[in-house]
Amino acid sequence: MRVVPEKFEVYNGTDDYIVSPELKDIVNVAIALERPLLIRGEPGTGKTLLAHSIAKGLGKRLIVWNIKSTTKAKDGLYVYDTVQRLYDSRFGDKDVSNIKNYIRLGKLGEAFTSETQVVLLIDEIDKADIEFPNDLLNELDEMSFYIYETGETIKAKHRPIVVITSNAEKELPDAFLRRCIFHYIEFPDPELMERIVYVHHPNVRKELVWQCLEKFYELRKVEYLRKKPSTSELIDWIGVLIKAGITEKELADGIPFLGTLIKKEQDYELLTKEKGYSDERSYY
Amino acid sequence: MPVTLTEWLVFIEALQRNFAACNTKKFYYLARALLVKKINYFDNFDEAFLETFRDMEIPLDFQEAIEEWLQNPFEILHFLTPEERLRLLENANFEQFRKTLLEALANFKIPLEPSEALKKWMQNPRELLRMLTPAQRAALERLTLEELRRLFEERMKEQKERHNGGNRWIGTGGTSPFGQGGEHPTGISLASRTRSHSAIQVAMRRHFRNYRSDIVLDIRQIQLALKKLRNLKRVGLEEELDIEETIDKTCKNAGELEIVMRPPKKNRAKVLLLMDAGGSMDPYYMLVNRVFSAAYQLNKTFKDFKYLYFHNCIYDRLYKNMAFRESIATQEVLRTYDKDYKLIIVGDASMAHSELFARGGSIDYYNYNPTPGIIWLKRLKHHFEKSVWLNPVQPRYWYVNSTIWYISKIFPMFYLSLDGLDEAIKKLI
Repeated sequence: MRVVPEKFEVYNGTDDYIVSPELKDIVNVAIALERPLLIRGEPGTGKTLLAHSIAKGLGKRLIVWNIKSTTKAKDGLYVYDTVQRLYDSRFGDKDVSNIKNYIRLGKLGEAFTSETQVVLLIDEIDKADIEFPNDLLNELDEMSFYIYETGETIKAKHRPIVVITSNAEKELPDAFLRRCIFHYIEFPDPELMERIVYVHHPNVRKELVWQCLEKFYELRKVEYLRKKPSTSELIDWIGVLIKAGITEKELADGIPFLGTLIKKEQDYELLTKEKGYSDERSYY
Repeated sequence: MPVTLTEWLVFIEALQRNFAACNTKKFYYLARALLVKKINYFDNFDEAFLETFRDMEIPLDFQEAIEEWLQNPFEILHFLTPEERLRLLENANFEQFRKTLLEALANFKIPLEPSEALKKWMQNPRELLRMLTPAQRAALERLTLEELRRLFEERMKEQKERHNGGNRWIGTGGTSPFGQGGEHPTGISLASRTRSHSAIQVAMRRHFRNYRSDIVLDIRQIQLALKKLRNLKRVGLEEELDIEETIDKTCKNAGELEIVMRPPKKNRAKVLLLMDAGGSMDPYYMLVNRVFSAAYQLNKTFKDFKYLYFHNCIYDRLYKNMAFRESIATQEVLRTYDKDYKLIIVGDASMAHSELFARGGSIDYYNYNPTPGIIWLKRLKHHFEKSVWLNPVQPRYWYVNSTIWYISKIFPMFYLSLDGLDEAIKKLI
């Protein structure tokens, strides 16, 4: 018996985002199984951009919930603005009897009540308190939540496509992980990186890119760097080189504009003083 | 590798719906995404995958495997243990393997003059591998690596003309393009144009070996314990509505609304972590590292989190990094850190008696200490209101009259296990 793959909306990547075949498959599996997709990886591996690309590729609205260290799970559901209601009650020009007027939906609530299916990005979930993901378990499972003040249940009209990113700053709870589909984006190899560079700088000379990549991966191998240069720094650096009109020859021995690649002062000193890198252009 | 029933059922569902599309590579990523949720277990998964599929797939993808091997031989070999390597070679038809290799090299018009060892290894790898000690094997690998690197360099020059003005392309300044200590070898793979890794090759790379952790006490557990270290006080901006107080004030105001705000509760706990980074701590390196990362990741939760290192025992200087380069006077530490810092010392407290009791007892010959270590320990204990010592050495080795025993008379000492950590935290609150 041959099983025919069923039809569901298929994400195929977009022009401005290069996706590896395995990640593309995982995204589609997550959409089909209606489970949150948890994406981890080094900074600069395009975790956040993936959600943008999924939304663009499928033609859906993207709702972004940026997590901060102070974010609470409830913030994503709804906020009951008690103070506003109390104040309004003093003047009597607004209808304070209807508590609904003072319930404001959070990003999760917004995603649930949307008339069409949306892509919901919960960005950098590990920034919040370590109990945070556990507080969202039920809401993400059932795709619904209860508003105590009004006795109302908000249920998703269309299950949003949920993409969650994490920098692995904190360990996530097991119960949460069990419910997710997990993919770790590895740092792009030089070949993939070359393609990524062309997405951002389509007209740059190949020779220059190859040389930049060589320097870039060499720098990433230097030991004791506090912060390895990542994709965004490489893109910026190449941008600067193009603007400054640096030629391959000038790039031969030094790394001009090293400061674009290396952001930490200690790293910069380590490279220039101890490892003998130069941020000067070389002239022949 | 913990897999729950729910995860397994989802996996079965995915297979039934044919998401793997009868493709081993898709199957590999699908199974990993649905069953393995922590990078620490990726390597175990790779191992299990290899165990199951190794024998099935290698003959099928033989040609591809050779091409891959040619483009980047050590990417595969580097990540295998000698036994695994042996099995790979056993499974391959080695005569054909060698023939293809030689043919391919001939095609690239590279004069093949490998070193004696390389030649031998290619002729009969099993024999050679068996004869070598691990050290020799490592030496051979280095040698082979150099040789191969040269071949690749030449091949690339001829093939792609990527060199710009004869510039260095691979291995600048003698740094290995394959990375050190088993790091992901990306450098050289720039040369490869075809990148169709089969699933088995992906698994064989064993990229995630470094993430492995077979240790009981994981970071999350430590964090949960450390989080109990709380000293909640209301500080900062008044941004929370104090309902009780609002009702009170409004009543007193005869019903005219009076809103009272208050600042939210914040953790005021301050932590000073001192870690022994001496040689005797090496066996516990991972464990201590874990405690450190747990605390470090929590540093936003604490009002302040500071850490310093010492070497075996604490004397007149503490160090800012494990390389013992930058230091700070212990006296200075006592002066700058208030007594309400919670002091956590992590160390094995195991040293020669003289290191603890004698002047100039420091193991560091160049760091003569005029004051014995024990005096410094007592000063620290005296200065901080709450302090504990976490010891990775099992309590059954805390013998009477050992330095552990003497130090445990000064600091409340706890075994560095989950229970011990919990007890220690209780002591600190």
